[in-house]
Amino acid sequence: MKRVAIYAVALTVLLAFVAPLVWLAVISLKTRAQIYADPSTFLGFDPTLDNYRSLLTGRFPVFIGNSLVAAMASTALALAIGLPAAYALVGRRLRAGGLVRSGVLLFRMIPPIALLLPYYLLFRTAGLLGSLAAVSVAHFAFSIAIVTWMTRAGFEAVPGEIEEAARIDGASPLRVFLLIAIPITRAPIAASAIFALLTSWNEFLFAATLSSPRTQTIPVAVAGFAGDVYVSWGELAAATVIGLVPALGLAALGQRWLLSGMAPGAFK
Amino acid sequence: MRRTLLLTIESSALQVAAGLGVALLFNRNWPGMGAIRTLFLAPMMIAPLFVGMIWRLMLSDDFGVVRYLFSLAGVSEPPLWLDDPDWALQTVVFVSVWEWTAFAMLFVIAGLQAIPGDVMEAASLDGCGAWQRFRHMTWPLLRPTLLAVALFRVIDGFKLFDIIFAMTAGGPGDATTTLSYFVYQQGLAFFDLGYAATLALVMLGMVAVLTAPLLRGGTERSAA
Repeated sequence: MKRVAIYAVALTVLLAFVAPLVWLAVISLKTRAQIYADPSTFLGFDPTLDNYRSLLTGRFPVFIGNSLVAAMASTALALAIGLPAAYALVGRRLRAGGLVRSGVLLFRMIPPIALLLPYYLLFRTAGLLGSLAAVSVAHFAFSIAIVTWMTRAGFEAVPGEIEEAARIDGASPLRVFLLIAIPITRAPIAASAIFALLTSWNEFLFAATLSSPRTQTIPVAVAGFAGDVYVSWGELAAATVIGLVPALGLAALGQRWLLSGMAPGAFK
Repeated sequence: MRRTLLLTIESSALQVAAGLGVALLFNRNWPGMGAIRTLFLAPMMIAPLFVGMIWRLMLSDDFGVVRYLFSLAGVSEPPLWLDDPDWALQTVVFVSVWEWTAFAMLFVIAGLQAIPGDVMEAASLDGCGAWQRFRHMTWPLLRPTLLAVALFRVIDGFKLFDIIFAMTAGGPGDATTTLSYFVYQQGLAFFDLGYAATLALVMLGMVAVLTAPLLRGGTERSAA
């Protein structure tokens, strides 16, 4: 009985929060006239896939590809550099670790806008402006802070004795890191990777400034649907749904790691 | 400036409180709860820019669904959420709470799951009621987690940009012009780069000061 009540409350809360998205999905199935109809209808209309069709036959698939490339490249880079960094920052290895850690956190605090212009000038000088590489590198800068910050606590929890034992058995520091520390820390690593992927997937400001029409990511492309006067809401809604589905899939797959990987110890 | 602080503190507090409530509700290993939790994450999975645009559409005065819902409830003249200077900032707070409560929930559930079940069981065997268990066991054990979440929410609240950009562009007037939006305006709209950079540094200092107590609280706890 009590269980039923809790389910009911949980579902109501969920529904209250997700309702705007359900409504968005409904909009994505409407024609323009139906969207502007007053009063708006929820179910009583002929659903159409026109918005999706016009999206997917246009240049939108290219943008989906761009988003995928930028998200994966920036996350891979962040893991490649952030993991060893976090491993090195573990308290017992580095006395000044605390200082560096604050530095990493400080980077998270900087208003991104402050970095936008330096990046712009930097990439212009490098001749990379408008390339997907520029977008990826910019996103990498956010991701590496996420990865380093989230995985350090995990590395901290790797028992020193195990590392010691492996080293005595003749394993090089690199082997200890790759074969012992990383497998033990896989949950926080997976969680941070998910966050890094999402950050890049959804980032707008840098992607908009550094990309060219060819290399737009999904958010940038969608922003283009909103003109000054006329907003193509149907397509915007459809594009948002398309962008949301992989993200939710990722969250569903990774929930186990998200939960165990973010256990307390974000500090220390 | 005052607006930024208000927005940051109010929205962070609401997000953490709502996240804690929802987490306590969803933290059960019953069938279906995993799916409910995943779906609940949906608002934070959308690009913040879209979040702003979606809400702008829903709150719009001529054909927005919110207005329609209010009229069903018998309120014929609801506030002009985004166009009324008195309401705009609160609306921004509301939308950011909608988007980021899931983030807080995720962290709190992770924290809750890290509390050993047998400790709880022992407490309830010793005759502690649900409230006592929460007050004396869950709450203190969860404190570091809550502080960590609050820290991140405050940092992000300060940087909040996309939602404002998409919903109000700082208006009406300057009712929702927060520091980070102001920096953007100065730097990229008016191209006063030096001024924008200085402002950004000042902001950085403010965030650092604002988060220092949270950070210290968290460190002391985990050292203990």
